[in-house]
Amino acid sequence: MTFCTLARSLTLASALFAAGAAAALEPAEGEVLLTVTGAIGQTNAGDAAEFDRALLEGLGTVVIETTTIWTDGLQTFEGVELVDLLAAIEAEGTNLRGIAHNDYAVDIPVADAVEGGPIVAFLRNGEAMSLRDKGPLWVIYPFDSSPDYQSETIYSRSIWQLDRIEVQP
Amino acid sequence: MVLAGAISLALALGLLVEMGREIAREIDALATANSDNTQWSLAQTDVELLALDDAIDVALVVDDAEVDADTLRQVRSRFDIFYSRVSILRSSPIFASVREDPVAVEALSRIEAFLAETIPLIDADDAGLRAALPLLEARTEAIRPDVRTVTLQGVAALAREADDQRTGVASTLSLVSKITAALFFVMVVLVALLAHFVRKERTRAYQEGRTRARLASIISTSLDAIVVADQEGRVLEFNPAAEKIFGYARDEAMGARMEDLIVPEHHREAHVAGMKRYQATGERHVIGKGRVQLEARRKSGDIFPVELSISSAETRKGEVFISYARDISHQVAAERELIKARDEAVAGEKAKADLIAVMSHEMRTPLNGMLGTLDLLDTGERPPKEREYLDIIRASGRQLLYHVDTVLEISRAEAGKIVLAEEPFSLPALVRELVESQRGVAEHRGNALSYLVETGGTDHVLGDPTRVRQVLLNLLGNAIKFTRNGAIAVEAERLDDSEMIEFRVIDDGIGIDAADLDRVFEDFVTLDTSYTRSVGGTGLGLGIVRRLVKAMGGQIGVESTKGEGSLFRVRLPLPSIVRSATPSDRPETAADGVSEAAVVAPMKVLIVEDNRINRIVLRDLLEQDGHAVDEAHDGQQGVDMAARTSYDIVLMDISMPVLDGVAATRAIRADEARGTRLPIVALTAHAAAVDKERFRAAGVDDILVKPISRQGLRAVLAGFSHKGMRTGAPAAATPAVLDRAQLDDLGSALGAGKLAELLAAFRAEMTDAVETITSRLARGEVDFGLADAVHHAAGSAAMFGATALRGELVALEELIRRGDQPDPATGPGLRATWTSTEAALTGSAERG
Repeated sequence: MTFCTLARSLTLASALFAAGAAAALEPAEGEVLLTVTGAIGQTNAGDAAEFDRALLEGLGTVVIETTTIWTDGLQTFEGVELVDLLAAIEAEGTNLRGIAHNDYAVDIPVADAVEGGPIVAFLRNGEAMSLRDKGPLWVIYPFDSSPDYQSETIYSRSIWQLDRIEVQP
Repeated sequence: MVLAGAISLALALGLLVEMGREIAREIDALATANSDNTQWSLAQTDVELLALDDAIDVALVVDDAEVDADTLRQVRSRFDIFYSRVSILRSSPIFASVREDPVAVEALSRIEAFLAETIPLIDADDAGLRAALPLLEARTEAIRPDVRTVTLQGVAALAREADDQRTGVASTLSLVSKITAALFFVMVVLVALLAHFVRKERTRAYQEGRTRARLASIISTSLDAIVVADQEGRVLEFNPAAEKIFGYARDEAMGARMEDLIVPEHHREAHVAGMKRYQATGERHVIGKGRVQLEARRKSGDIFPVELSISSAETRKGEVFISYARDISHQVAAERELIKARDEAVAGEKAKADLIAVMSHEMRTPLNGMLGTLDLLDTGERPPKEREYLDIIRASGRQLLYHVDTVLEISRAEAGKIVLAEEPFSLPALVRELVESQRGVAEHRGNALSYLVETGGTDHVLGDPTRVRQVLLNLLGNAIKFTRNGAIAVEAERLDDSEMIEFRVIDDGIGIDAADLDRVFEDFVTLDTSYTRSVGGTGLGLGIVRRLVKAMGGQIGVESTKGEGSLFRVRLPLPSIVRSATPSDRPETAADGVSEAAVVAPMKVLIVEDNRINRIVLRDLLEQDGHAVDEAHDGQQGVDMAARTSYDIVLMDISMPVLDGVAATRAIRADEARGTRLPIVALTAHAAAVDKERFRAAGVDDILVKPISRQGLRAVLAGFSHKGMRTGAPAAATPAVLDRAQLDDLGSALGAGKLAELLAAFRAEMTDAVETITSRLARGEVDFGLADAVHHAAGSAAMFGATALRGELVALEELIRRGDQPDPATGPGLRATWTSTEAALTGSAERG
């Protein structure tokens, strides 16, 4: 097994922001990368919660170093932990329906969203991911950290070109 | 068994671990999927190209400006998605197999070329893109077959991969099943081993239980006290015997300290110090040293002796000491009693011995006075009755004196006061004299007596002849006493050239019971049989013999069978003083030197003997050799028969009623015609030298010592067989020219050197004397002066055993003193006898 490192970097500013976010979700000002709908307690665009890059970064980011079965060699992904994202929008469901730009859709159980678990990555090897490069968002599990993350189910949940999430009860 | 089990177990476990690792690897490989839904991904490339195519078609037909921007964005998005999908094909490890397919690679490279040339069109502004839409559509259409090819080739490659994977899974499963089988086998073995160990353990536990039970019963039934204590001296075990011996109940003793319980107060300090020393240094004084005798204390405070043995043993609780103790107070008391009794007995014995010694000595003096006074009484003038009484008194007195002397002898021997002489003596002479002295007594009881001396030429020995004689006399006396009408032999033999002479006194008498054999040498032992009682005795004889033999440095032993006889064996150190110049193995026998006598020509023999048995024996012996025998029952009858009949020889018993042998011989000689001489041989048990002299003086030619043996008889007859018996000269008629025994006696008494010296003087003197006598006879100077000279010469001849010469001289002296004229042949006869005597003397000297 290749080694896996998990690093959490939480800036003071983002911490303050997160404290503020608990009260209300700021509207997205940049290009909307992710739209979350369904059973959520926080919205910023009607019934939905929309996130641009800044909003996602404001939730605090983590870095996962791992290999994947779709890429060649060790990769560095940076993004928001799914558990933090769900907390920010006060999601109250058990299932997440992830939908990609290429119309791929997969169910991710809320139970997967744990600390040290999957992230919604927006940086790969320090660079933003384009649509051609499976961006802009890619759900990445820390595959190398545990054999539990090396199953076909987990691979199928690793949705790339993520566009929307529906929180289902 | 256990070792083999452990090894196979270890091997099985090793195998199992190795197999387990293998399985884990396989399971890992299965558990961590290394592929997404690849087929789907592959097919999706086709789909996404179609979506791009579709988006381009939509954009081509739209001309609304606002909608147009949206459709163009769709085109761009679809292109990006397709691009993304192709990049996966190009880089993802899961499509490695697809990338190895040459056809797919070729198609893929064309797709990549399509992407590369299309990107500028897509990235252009909306107007540029719109202008390029037809080209884009044409290119998209053109690339579709290649995408299809990649998809189809990929499906095939992936299917192959899936097959391989399935095969791998199947082999893994097969491995799993093998491992399961192996595991099962190992489990079976383990279970079997476990069962075996359980069984063993159970057996061991059972045996241990039994051992423990046995041990417990040994401890509880032991007669010795067993006390087990720990290092502090605290009692851990106290058995029933210990309870009994020490007086404490087990409950009292358990846990108490040894020194408080059973160590006497005066030993307590030493005990504690000993324990401390042992704990500090491990030095042991009593522990493990076997039996020691110590003192112990009972509960009552009594101190008593114990025999103690302590050993130590290691237990889980540390070292323990096991003491075995035996109460030996009875034993010690008994020993003390025994020692006391012995001391008292020794003291008593000493007092008794002293008393006996003093008493015996004090009795001896008055007894001697009494016997001496008796001798002073002139019995000749007494009436016969009184004479008889006096004889009884004398005999009784002598018997008493003998007993007293015996007791004194014992006392002296006990006190170590036997003084031994060391002088030379002749062993054959001693034995012969001894035997002859007892012959009368033996014959009285009908016993034949014989002797045999084999010294290998070492006849003359150094020792105490008196004591040797005393020993032999005692044994011989006993043999005679306990034998009736039997045969008794005395033998002396030198053992293998050593200093030791073995004497054997053998009889065929009543024998000694096996149970009594050990006792016969003890004092005051008279075996309790009616026969012995009739014989009587002090019972001290063998006791004295034993002491004398011991004093002389010898040994004595006895072999006997009841009813068959006894053999007493005495070994005495009697070193030889002279080695014979011509060693002879010829044994000295009762036949006086003749070992094997031949049967002589038939002779006419007259036996004069009052004893009927002796007559019968003699007659048988003679008739068996072919001689004609007449018998006379007393001396007078013998004289009468000799006068009537002409005999070749007369065998004359000495002690006979009416006329004894000596008187009868004189009578026969008196009646004899001049020039004739009837050979007369005296038969006697009394062979003392002085008696022999008396017989010869009476005219006896030879002496045959009883008991008569065939050999002795033949030898004597041979001496007279070829003689001109009635015409032969007296000298010639005398067989025994030299009495060697007499000479031997002299030799023993004087020593060989002195004897030789004296012999030389004797020969010179006798040669002169014979010459003087012969010449005076020839000149007719027969007077009392001649008689004195003849008498003197006769004495000298007697001294040196010149028997024949002496006989003639004595006869001549008698003749002269009677006033008769001697025969003219007397002179030459004397000279001839002397010549043969000298020859015999020379031979004797050579013989040693």
